[in-house]
Amino acid sequence: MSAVRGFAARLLSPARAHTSSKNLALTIAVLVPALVFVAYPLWAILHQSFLGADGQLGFENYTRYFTDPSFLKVIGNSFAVALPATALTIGIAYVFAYALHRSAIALKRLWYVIAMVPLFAPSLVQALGLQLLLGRNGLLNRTLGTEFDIYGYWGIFIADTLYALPHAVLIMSAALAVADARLYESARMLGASDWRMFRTVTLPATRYGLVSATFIVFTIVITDFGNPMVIGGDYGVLATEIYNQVSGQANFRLGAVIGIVLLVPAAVAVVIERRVARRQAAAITAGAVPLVPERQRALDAVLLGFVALVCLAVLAVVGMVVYASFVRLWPYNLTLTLSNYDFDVQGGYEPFLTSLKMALTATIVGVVMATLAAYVAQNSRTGLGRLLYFISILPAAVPGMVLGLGYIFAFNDPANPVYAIYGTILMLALNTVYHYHAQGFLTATTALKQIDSTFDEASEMLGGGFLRTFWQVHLPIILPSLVGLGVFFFMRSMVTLSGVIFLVTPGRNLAAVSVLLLDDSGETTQAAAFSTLIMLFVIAVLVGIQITLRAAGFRDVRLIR
Amino acid sequence: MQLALEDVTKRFGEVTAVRHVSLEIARGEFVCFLGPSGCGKTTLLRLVAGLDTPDEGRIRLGDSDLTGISARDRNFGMVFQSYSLFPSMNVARNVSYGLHCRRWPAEKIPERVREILELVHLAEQTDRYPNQLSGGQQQRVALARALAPEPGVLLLDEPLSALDAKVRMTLREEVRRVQRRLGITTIMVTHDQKEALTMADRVVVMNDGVIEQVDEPTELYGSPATAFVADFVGAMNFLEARVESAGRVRLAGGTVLDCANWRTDAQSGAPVRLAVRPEDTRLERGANGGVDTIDARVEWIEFLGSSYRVDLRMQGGEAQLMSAELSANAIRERGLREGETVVVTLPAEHLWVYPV
Repeated sequence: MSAVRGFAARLLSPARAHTSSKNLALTIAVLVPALVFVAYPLWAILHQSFLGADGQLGFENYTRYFTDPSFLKVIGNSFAVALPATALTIGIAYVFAYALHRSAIALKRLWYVIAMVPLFAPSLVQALGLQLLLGRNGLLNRTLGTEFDIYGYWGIFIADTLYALPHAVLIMSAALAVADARLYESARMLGASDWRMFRTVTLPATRYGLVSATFIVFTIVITDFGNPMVIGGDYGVLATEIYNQVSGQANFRLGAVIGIVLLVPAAVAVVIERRVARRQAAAITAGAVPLVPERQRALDAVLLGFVALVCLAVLAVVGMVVYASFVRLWPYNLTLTLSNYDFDVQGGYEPFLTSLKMALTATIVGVVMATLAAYVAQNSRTGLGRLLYFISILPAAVPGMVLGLGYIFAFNDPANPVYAIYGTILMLALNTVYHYHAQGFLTATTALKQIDSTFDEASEMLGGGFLRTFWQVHLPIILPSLVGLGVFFFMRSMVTLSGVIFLVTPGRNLAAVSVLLLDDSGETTQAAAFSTLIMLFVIAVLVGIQITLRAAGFRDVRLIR
Repeated sequence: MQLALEDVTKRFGEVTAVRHVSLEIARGEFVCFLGPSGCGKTTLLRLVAGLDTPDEGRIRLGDSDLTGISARDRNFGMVFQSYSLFPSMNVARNVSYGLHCRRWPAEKIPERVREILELVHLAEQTDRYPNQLSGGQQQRVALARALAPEPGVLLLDEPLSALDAKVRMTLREEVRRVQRRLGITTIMVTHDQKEALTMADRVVVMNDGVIEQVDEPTELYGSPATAFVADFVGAMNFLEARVESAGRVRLAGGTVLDCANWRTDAQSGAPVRLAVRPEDTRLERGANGGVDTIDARVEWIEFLGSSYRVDLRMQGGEAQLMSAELSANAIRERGLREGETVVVTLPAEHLWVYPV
């Protein structure tokens, strides 16, 4: 026993040796689930990918994969979509965020909210809208009599650009929102032109945001599953290929190989992004004077036109989905009806209620686990603390489908104790929590940094225990941030698709999966109705929480991230 | 004797922040830890508080050993430089926090809160939140919060450093008044020698983890034990010199001076440092070249408000610099101007000799 204590004391900070056993218990309590639900499934999928037909470990699967030209083509396809879509998204997002923060255009809040709309819907809504607008039976072909075909490369390209846009706008907004007016004043005093100021002040100040957004968007696009599934047609990408191998042909090991292949570019992107993001944080000094954008008629007019056009594109696609949800038989009978909301196939409203239950569970579990992980990682300077940090941000590099497939390998086995919850709502919630754990963890870390370390000591000197300090001192300070964290987990849980696609069962389906299945079986208008339902519900919840927070006196709480 | 530090040492990795410090503090005494940043004064305070644990030695309160007793259980009050008021609680709740922690009977708490807030003249502000108060008010709330649970010892960690000069002056008096009134044993950490000299019963000067001198403010200023203390507390001229004979030193320019205060047993011929305060440096116009005086030239005269500082360059063999502080009257009577030659007299009773 004393040997264990001694080991614990060495692992933990020597200054607080007398509380080390309590800290160690907390660290382990947070670390164990993270290892079970992140590290172990990843290990399981890696193991499966090397497992040959004879049950021996080897490169058999990889050899088979990399010698098959059709598989290689899929890799090429993925990059062929992801690279230009990333470039376009970043370009649009930069100008968009620039207009919102550095120009004097009107209706900034409105443009911002519209750009965020894709976040409130499952990732296949863009594809669904494009299909309704530009598909074979789309509005365009029907009205103009053209034979335009959106299925395939261009469909995925446009859908993913729209899907990734809000993520890029969020990051670019954060980078462009903070500006030191003193730098611009100095530049102007030195006679710099507007273009020169942009090149020498604005661009360098936002370069980390730019790099960070680029890699995040790349990860989103290359791992996206919903949009290529709906609109990809014969154009296979890695994410849809995993699904085809696993769900279509029950070829789990090949699915695992493709998962690992998909994991590599995503992981590389995330590693670079993390390195850059750390520098971004240090680039802003405390003495900065906020910049108030000046009116520049010509530039403002151009930017306003651009922003309005982007918003139009976002709304057109989403609007088509909403419109189609009220149409009797797309595109032959366009009379309006509510009958699509009857959901007479695919289990009716059941998947929506399941999603709601799952989202509430994931919200609670996610807030608690991400906050505890952030707390432990911040306060523990030990090997265990660093391991926890690593495991906590690891999911950022793991595509949802890879994690989901890993769960099958890891837990669909009666010998594993986690099998007891396999197929339950809790399992789906845990999968979602750890799928989005990195972002939640980083949000919680930022929230905890608001707490001055001397608060702990002040409370300690006054005789306050751990619980009292947390409950009375820390919690009121971080509460608004925790609400934001909860909203994040809730939103993602309501629209998540790729992580849970392998874990749902016919009896326990989720909303976003239901949309996919409805669309797949040709029930396009019901799929549209289900998507609309999800979007409206998420937006309603968001508005409700925003109003409640305002009423409670909390201002400027960022709920969308 | 109430609080005793016995041979206390604290290391942080390779750095030894406090080395073998021993100190006794009497009941009701106000002691200041004074020193430059990094001298170990804050570490020593945190060891007393229980926020850090000494690697060696022990700390006792009365007859009880504090080793192994956590900060939570010591019932010491602490005031931080950054105020550290809980932002989500109003003044009254901040002050009552420790009372709840220490399980005071509920009916006694409002009375105690009012009593202690009256003591710091904040009885009208109970419903305000920290961000609605000025820095000085916040620090008085912090003082009230620390004192409310009737702590055994009051610890102040640079409590006035974040405040502006005027507020600092009034709060200095207020802290001292409250401390005397309650008779509470108090330790204050500061890097501001003026603060230490005006507030403390005794000052502990620290440098590089060790105590240089412990003394009453007048003794500390008038009789610094080491060259470090002489330099750190108040202004001091240091001149290079050699021991001439018992009780006498010779400057490089040939001047031989009688010195009353020896803090070294250096033998004849050995180099020493001669120290004299600017206000003890006498000077007259003219040049007489006597063996017990120094010829110097006025380089610069600086107006300080109530007095002037005169920067001097010594003439002869070696051009050492020193300064004298004179009243406005003295400057006028002597008609001193920059560039003039003066005779400097250094009285033996104000001369200190330290090892090099």
